[in-house]
Amino acid sequence: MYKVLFNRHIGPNPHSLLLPEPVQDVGDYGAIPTTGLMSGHQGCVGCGMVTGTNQVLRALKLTGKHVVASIGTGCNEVITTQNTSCWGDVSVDHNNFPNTGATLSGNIAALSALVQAGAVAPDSTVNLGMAGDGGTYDIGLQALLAWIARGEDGIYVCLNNQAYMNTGVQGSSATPIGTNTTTTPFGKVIRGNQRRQQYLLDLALAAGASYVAAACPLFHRDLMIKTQKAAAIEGPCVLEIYSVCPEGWKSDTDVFHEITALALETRSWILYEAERERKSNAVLFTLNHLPKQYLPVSEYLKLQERFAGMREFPEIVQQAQEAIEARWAFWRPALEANGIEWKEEARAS
Amino acid sequence: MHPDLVLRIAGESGEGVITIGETLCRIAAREGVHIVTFRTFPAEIKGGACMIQVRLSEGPIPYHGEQVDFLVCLNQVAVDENLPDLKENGALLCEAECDVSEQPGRTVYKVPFDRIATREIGSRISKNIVVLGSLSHLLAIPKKSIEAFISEKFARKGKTVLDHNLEALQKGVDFAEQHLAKKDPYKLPGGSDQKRLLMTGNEAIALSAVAAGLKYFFGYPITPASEIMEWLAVHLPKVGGVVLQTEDEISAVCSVAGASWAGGRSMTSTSGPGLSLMSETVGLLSMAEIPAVIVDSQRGGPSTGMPTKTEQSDLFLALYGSHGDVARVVMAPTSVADCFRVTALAFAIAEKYQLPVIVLVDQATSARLETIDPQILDRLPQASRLCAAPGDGAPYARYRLTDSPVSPAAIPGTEGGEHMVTGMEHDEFGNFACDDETHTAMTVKRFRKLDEIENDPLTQDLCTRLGDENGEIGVVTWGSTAGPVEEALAVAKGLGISAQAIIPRVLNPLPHKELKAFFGKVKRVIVPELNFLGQFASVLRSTYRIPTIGLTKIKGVPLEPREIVEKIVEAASASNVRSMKRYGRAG
Repeated sequence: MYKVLFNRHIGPNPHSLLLPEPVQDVGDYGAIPTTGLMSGHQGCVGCGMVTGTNQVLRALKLTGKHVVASIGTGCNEVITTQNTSCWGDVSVDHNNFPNTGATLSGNIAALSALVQAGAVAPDSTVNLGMAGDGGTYDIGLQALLAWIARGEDGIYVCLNNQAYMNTGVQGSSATPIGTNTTTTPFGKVIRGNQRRQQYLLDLALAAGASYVAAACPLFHRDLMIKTQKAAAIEGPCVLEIYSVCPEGWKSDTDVFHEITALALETRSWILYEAERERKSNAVLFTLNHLPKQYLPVSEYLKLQERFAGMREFPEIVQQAQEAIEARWAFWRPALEANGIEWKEEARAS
Repeated sequence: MHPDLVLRIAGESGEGVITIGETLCRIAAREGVHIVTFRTFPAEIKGGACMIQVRLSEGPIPYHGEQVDFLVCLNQVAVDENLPDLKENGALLCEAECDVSEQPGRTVYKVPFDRIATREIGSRISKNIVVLGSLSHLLAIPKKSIEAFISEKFARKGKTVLDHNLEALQKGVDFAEQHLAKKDPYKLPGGSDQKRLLMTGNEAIALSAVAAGLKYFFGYPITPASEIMEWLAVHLPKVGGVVLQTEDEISAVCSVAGASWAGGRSMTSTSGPGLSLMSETVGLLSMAEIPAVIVDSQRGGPSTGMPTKTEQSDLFLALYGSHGDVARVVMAPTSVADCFRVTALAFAIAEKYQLPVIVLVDQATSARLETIDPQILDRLPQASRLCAAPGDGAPYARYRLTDSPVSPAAIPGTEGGEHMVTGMEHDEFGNFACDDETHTAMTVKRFRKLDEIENDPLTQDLCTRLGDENGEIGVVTWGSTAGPVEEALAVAKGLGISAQAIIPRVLNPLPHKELKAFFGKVKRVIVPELNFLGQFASVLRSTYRIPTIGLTKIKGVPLEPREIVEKIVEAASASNVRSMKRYGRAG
């Protein structure tokens, strides 16, 4: 087990104890002269994944390196591979659904061999793996954990929209409790998803990742800082991006901002990062966003029809609330260390 | 042929195209009309061209029809793409702004669907209901039945939504009444009082599985098979069954192995990529003698391929996938109605012979809506597992070698029936054994099951025979290509060519007696199928040592009868084709 440390800083954090220099802070307006995902993608209106991918690519290009991406089957692959122009000057390798981590390893091995042979300049590429929550939490988990365990230098990005949207909204291991999906229908016998939601970053840290971070496209400054840190820090780095999906979440297409804000205020999604200092085997946790107000999870359920069934059942909402509070309690020392009073009242709501 | 109507609705995905088609199907089915549909979906998640073709008839029909009588297009792209398929003297109903004009041999009706929906009703999404209104007027569909259906469909969404939709329907009807003069002869075919079920191939498979006693379903999302899991997720718990979505296909099929070993009827459904992952376990199921039903809804391959398009290219994988000598049964239903019979048969064979059964359907059958005679549910084949009655003092041998290749199976956990099943080669008790004698005896035991299945009463008379039984031109096909073949034979007959067809439902073990007799009668064998290699033709050539005329297609859509007719005409007129040589079964 690793030793847990908390950062006394709360908020976006371009500094890292693993890096001699801070990474570039793009500021609140993200006005940087790089291109991300190019035109021609076929994402739905209001898709958070497209924005997330765009920001990741823009941030990676700030490093000045050539991006070599391996992408797993999923929404992101389908909507960005119908026009090769989409990825601009990024080299892309689409492999099978279960194999994003393994493909990443292959890319890394070959590139390091090419560097040794003098065919590629040292340190001139950044290796990116990208998959959805189905391809990460479920079918791709073995390959991902094995890649992390190998300790290779690269970035793995999970675009988490909490179900299999590409195949028609089936539940995944990232689906929150009570959610209505086509394989976890909300009815009289089965009340939506009954499985406990899994947390990728916990697994990645346990497997030995150097750096893990949870981000969302709404806070692009934070997301782009995290991406650059992941590119700079040596070893396997895992980024998980909250990806709003109007199609699968049965929400309006113009409430991207509201839904993400509610996710943060109800702490259904926590923006944080953790970096591992290998010598002392300590992991430094940083909270990157402190909600101005704490809202009960019931607020989060309102804008999304996937939660329409569970809203009517206080006991399921209570379960969801308890799961959130249990995870939020982890951050108590971080808040107290920053002189922020620990609020218990959200627990009761 | 019965009087029929081929109707196609085309537009952009998300415009409600499929809903119009499905609504029409449901209304027509209630009127007792026979229906077969074909749907194409775009690969995009939202948007992209899509269409539904509906063939409505007074009598049974095998295929969704080639040339379209009545075309409905919601935008210009749809007009451009689909107009070539409109038959001579066909009718087109389209959005007013479309650039297409009436000409001799084509009736065009234009309705400003967009404007009516956005301006008069104030909601763009009700456009498809406006279309439905105009269409129902033109095809003389009783308005009452549409209203009744819409009332039912939207009742749960509250009065406002319902009124909204009824208004949209009325506006569509009104516009057609006031502005469109009926100039074409097409109308909804007459029906009957016979009630019919209307469902997709995927629903038929799921329902049949429940009827056959399915208790445990394990699956993983994959187009176009997900619908089976989704249907079961809603309905299986109602009869005390369990649906579990696993983390990948390997786990799905291994869960099936676990549940089935423990005594419950279990199934998984997938598509080609999933069956590839499951292949290792197919070998284990065969080796450990565990009953399992694996449904593969084929799509364009290899790899991720064309997930929303149809193909019949997993035959080799189903027949030969997995290492070693693997005894397995492969079946292929030919229609939605057939999905019922074959799925139930798959359970019966799997349980009776304790081995894996792979059911091959394809995207076209999976997604196709078809009317079915409800009596079919009463005639499903049934069989159960041979159970052991341990406890007589003698040690229980799971793989006892007897005259029959099927050994009695004990439920794990029963007193005296404790045993071990294993993927390793084993002796009668399940102990690891790799001596030549045991491996030979056990391999022979496993493959003798196939001989028994071939002669089992359950699998007799399962071949569809079509055409003139003295026909010199023979057609052998499998799966959903049976529909176009049936139509092609009728057309060939009209051309004065005597042809016959045989369509086996069990592809492994093949019905040798029937096929040999068939090959004894015909002079040419055409094998139409939807793959590049001519996989079934290859199997027939190697098994029966006969020359075959391949007819393959890999365009992501079913074969059309005229393509088969062309081949039949060619075969009938060709003089240089080698005559059939018959050596009987190879090996």
